[in-house]
Amino acid sequence: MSQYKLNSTFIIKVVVAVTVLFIIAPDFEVLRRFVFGFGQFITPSIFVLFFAILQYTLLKNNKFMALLVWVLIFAFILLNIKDGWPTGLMVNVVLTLMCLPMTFILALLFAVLRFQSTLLVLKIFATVIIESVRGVPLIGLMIFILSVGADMVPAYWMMPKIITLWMIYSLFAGVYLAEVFRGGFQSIPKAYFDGAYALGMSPLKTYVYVLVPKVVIDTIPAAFNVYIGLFKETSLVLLFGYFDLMNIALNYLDFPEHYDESIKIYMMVLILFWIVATIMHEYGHYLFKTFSKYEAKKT
Amino acid sequence: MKPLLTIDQLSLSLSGKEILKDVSCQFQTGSCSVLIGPSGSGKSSLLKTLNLLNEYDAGLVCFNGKDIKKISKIELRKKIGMVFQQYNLFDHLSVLDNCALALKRVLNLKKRDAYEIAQAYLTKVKMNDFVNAFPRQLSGGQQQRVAIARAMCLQPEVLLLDEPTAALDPEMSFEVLETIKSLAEEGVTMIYVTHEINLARHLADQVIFIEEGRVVAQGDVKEVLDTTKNNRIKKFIEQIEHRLYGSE
Repeated sequence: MSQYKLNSTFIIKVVVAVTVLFIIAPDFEVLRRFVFGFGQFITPSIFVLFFAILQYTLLKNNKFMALLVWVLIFAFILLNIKDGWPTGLMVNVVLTLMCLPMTFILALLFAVLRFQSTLLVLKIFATVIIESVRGVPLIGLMIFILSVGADMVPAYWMMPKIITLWMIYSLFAGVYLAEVFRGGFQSIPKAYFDGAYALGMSPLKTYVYVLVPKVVIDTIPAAFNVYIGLFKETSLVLLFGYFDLMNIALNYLDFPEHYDESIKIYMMVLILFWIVATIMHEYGHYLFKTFSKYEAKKT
Repeated sequence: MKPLLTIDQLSLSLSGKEILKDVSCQFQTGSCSVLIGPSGSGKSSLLKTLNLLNEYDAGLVCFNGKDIKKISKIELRKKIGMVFQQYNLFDHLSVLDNCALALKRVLNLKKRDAYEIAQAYLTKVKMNDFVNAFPRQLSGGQQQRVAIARAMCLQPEVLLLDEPTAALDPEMSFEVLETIKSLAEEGVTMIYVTHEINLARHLADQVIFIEEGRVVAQGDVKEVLDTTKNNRIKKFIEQIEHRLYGSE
């Protein structure tokens, strides 16, 4: 039976990357500021705790608890958003974390609406949204909504900028993920539908209890590709004044006494992004191995 | 005695092609009916139509005296179970979950009760040692037995079997045939599409020969298989027996 084993190559890669990071960092304080920004150590620790609980609920297949943990993560983020937090790499991590569930929900919704053939109006709606959002650059969409869009809506509709960014990122990654899910739905043989219908299941129940679980598991590797892309694209928030990892690095290099450190600083930024992306990739691999036991060959 | 299932002048077209033409037949409660005929003759389509997986164009199908189009699809499928040639199991669910799924989601039974019933039927088809296995870990014969247990879990009044042994080697076929025989002995109404002439001889109360979407002959085993005067049926049976036993 296929089972996840912690990949030794993964550990070596991360250890080497962290070591290089410590070697090239001008001092520990700079590294700390790049990662945690101007915030405290306590918040990342709480995230780790949340994730430990989330992991437990996933393994126990307790969907209600998993949902509750996401709500808690959300509430925690929203209560903590203030000037100075999140900053540094935490901006990218927090924004990605906020986007993960929303991206997933939107993607699933758009994929099902586009895949099904009964509700034609909704199918067209999903197709139009997917094709329009996918066809424009993310930066263009962000500028349009945050500057032009802000002038068009009444003041009392205005939301905190991070919430707007969260929605834009979720939508953008959501349409890409929707196409991944749609591919998953399309690869399901007709036998699955016949099998479920013959058991007396309605089309809705067939989707909810048979098709969606299979598609979600089968597309974990491709979905994590989208999530990693989303994480890297969060560095665009620097254009809207957020002190994310990239912006903090650029600010650091603005001081004349740091000019000669530019190579080291840019390398630090890239290595930090790389470490998080690699961890995300490994986590996706772990989830896939854990939930796709049925892929095992005959014993 | 009133028949459980009646088909009257049924016609079916799929993608503009006429598949069934004026098919009429009856199935008695507790009987085992075998549908035989060459590939592409419409046997599987007829089974799917009885389960409303195909929507027929004309004619009348009555279950317990009621037009099946007037019964909700879900209610009908609870009473008419189906087993497919390619098993149609859900690969991502364990054997036990495959069987318990409909009990939980269609009959709305509690998880514990659903698992209990599923376990009982899996024991009946001798698959109780594989409850936690996934379909891809099983042999074809084992998968087909799970599929039969899954269909039986809903305790249907009629079981439709669409060539359940066609994709299996003789040894695996034997496992499945033993299971089907035991169900027939229990008095489950079965409509069985097969090329297994021997099984038809052994089990069938009624044999229906279909060719090019039409019922060519129907009656008891002797009438259709042994004493038929229809040359086409004779040739078909000869070919199958020749394939099975060679030229000896």
